[in-house]
Amino acid sequence: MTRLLVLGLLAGLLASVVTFGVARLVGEPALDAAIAMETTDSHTHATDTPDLSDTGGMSRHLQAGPGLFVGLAAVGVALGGILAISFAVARGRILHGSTRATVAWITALGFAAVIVVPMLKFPGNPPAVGNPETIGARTLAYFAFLALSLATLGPAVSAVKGIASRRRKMLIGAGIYAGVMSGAAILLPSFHEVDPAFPRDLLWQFRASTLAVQATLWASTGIAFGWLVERFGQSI
Amino acid sequence: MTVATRPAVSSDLPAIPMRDIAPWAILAALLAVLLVYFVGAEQGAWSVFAGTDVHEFVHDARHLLGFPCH
Ligand SMILES: [Zn+2]
Repeated sequence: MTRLLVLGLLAGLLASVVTFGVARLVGEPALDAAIAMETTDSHTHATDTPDLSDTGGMSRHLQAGPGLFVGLAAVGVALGGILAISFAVARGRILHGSTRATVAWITALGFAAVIVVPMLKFPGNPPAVGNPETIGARTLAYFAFLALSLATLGPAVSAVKGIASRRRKMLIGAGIYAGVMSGAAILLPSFHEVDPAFPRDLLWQFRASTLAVQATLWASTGIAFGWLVERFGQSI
Repeated sequence: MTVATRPAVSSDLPAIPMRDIAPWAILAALLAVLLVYFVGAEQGAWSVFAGTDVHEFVHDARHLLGFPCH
């Protein structure tokens, strides 16, 4: 079990290297463009140095280089650890396929529940868009929605455990999950803070890049973990 | 017949007993919550440390991973 967890953490770290490349390539241009908008904006009503308005005095090189990598690596390692535990629980208990198939199922289900569904309700915003006064409410709502999404997976999976037909199993499981999450999405507040003047294509480009970054992180963590377990994890 | 049979990769493996997983599960969960908190929320909605250095350092990662910010 120790080895499985170590392989998971390692997979997450390896994945964050790949993700760093994608984030630099796809994400940073959108981020920089948004920051540029923000600084031109602050020209009009601020007297302080505009270049530092969003960085608290920290250089963009530090944020877009080491800062970006450390942040991605931290989340990658966290993801790898949880993936290893989920794999240990699911293998031979919930999922009975090969190592790769088991990892693929967990990664796909996790990505949908942890990333895609919360993103539909609370899409990420580039700098210059959010209202600082609502950051508390936004963060709370986001993590509450995320926690509920994860918490619904367990009961949804165990509710369909006894059903023989694979097709019915998936339909009913997905139905339970979708029902709970739709209800929560309606009950939780939404935040519409994007300034109408903010370029729509830049907003779209930014949000697509957050999906690309997360998809890369999850897919490469899953692939690396599956490979590592098949290669080094056979005795566990 | 000296070659040891390699254990099958997949379904033949017995499930790992839950009591063996539990302590590691707690450790991994704590680690994940801590790491995701610092990347996703520290010095935004809540602050453990004073100032904005943690927020600013992981700022690009926070935005590009889709966490709420600003
Ligand atoms: Zn921000």
